[in-house]
Amino acid sequence: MKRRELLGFMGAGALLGLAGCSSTGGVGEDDFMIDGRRALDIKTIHFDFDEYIIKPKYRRVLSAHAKKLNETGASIRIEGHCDERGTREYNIGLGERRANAVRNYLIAEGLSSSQISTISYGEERPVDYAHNESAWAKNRRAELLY
Amino acid sequence: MKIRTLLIAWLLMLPLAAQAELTIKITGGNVDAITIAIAPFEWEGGGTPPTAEFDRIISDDLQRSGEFKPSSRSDQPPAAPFGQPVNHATWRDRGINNLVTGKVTSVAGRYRVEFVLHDTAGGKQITKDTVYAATKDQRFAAHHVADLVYEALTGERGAFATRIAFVVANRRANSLQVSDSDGHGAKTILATNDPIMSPSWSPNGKKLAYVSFEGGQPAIYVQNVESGSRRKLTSFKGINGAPAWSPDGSRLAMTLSKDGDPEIYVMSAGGGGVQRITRSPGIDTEPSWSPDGNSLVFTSDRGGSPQIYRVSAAGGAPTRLTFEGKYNSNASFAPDGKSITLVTRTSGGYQVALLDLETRGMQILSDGPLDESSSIAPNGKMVIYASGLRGTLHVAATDYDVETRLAAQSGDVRNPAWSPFLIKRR
Repeated sequence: MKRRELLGFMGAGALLGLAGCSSTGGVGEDDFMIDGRRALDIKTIHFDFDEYIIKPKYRRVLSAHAKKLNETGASIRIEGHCDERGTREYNIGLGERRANAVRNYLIAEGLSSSQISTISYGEERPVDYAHNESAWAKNRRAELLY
Repeated sequence: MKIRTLLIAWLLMLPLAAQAELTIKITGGNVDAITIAIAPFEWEGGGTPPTAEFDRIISDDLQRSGEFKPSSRSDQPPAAPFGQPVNHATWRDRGINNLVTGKVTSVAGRYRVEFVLHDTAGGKQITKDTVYAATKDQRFAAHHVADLVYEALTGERGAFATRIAFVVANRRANSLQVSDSDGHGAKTILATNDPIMSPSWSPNGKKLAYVSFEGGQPAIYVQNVESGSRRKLTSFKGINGAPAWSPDGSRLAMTLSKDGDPEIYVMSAGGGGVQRITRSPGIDTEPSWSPDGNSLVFTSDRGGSPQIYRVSAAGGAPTRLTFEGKYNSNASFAPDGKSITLVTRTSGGYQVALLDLETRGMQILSDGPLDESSSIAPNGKMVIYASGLRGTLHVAATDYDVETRLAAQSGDVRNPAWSPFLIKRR
């Protein structure tokens, strides 16, 4: 994922995340609530169909993880996943884009590339085995493992 | 290259034939189908009788091709003992224009399978032949007879005495299996709790290349089907996917993302000599060789949506082959090189289609909505694919509107790959 427009977008996303942080004074990134959950408790990022752009609501989630990983220096593995639609090997490519989108965001937030490993499982590891939109939405995801 | 013998070897595998059931579903049919009856094969004692029902195996094979309309046992008049004169009229009067009679005997621990093909309409014998098989290969001998009958009546080589490789998933438990072309007699050649993908047969039918995520990283392996021994061919950083053997068996095409994003590469089948074929910022994957080995077709989204492109096997500028629809992927060449099978997205979802490279006509072969992984028989007359909705394998005739669901394994069955011809032509 070396495309300039993507990196440009990620940079902007990082800036938005930082702006959110500074505007809340002493409250840490990990105190943000997303969908009623603490940002650091959210380790799955969901994507739209055939997309790998990180949605605005997940930027703070990733920024919170980046802050923690920057402090601890721990390593993280990012898994990219897809829904079952489309062919299996193409979905391996799409899953890699999703993992790389998360990776690039974390690097823009200060992580070292040596801290991060990525893998795409394509559509091979669904969390929901049903064949409907609700299952597909759950399966289009990147998982943060650390 | 590390060589490792799998704990699970071919010979230790238990066949899953007991749970298998063939379901015939004829969607349109062929009004000009050749009528034929396969009489139950006689067993001449001495030794262990075969467990395979030769007449049913042959009958189902011919039916699946779409070119035949076999009569069921209950619609057949009693057959004369094998070798005795056949009363052609009793068959002809029932609208059965061809008849196969056969006899199985045990000879020195092997089965001798004799058969005669009768033209009941013309009142004459068309051909007779004999095939031999070890006990474990008795079903294969039946498929071989089906091939010989098919060729005698259509003039085209039969492709029933072949195998298919496929992946069976039971949630996290995955296995790579090989069965007869009708889905029966499946044997597991690899079992793991990690995903297995994209089996590809070597042109001599002895090896399979595939992707396995064992150890949490994708790698391309090459495994000897009979012995089970295998070696890891690639384990680069990133994607190691979509292996495809060149027609001469000397090289494999594959997808690697080691240089930043998924691109097509070609390397020696023995390992090494990695050559990059494509250069685009998008996803390039699913390479398949033309039968002459001079070019590759592959999927790329460089134009904004996944489409099929063709490129010289030496690299260079690709040309786009598909323009209809927003999703065309997973192409593979028909044996004559004149058409490709692919998966296309239509209003009916993801369907398997055959694209004529000269006329650009696209023929939809499957019903959808989540069909994938098409693989064409070595005679070009049938296409196997997986239904993602049902987790089953299906065979569609390329010239007729006939589709058959293959023997069901327990679990989600996917990723079928049709072997090359395995029996030398006489």
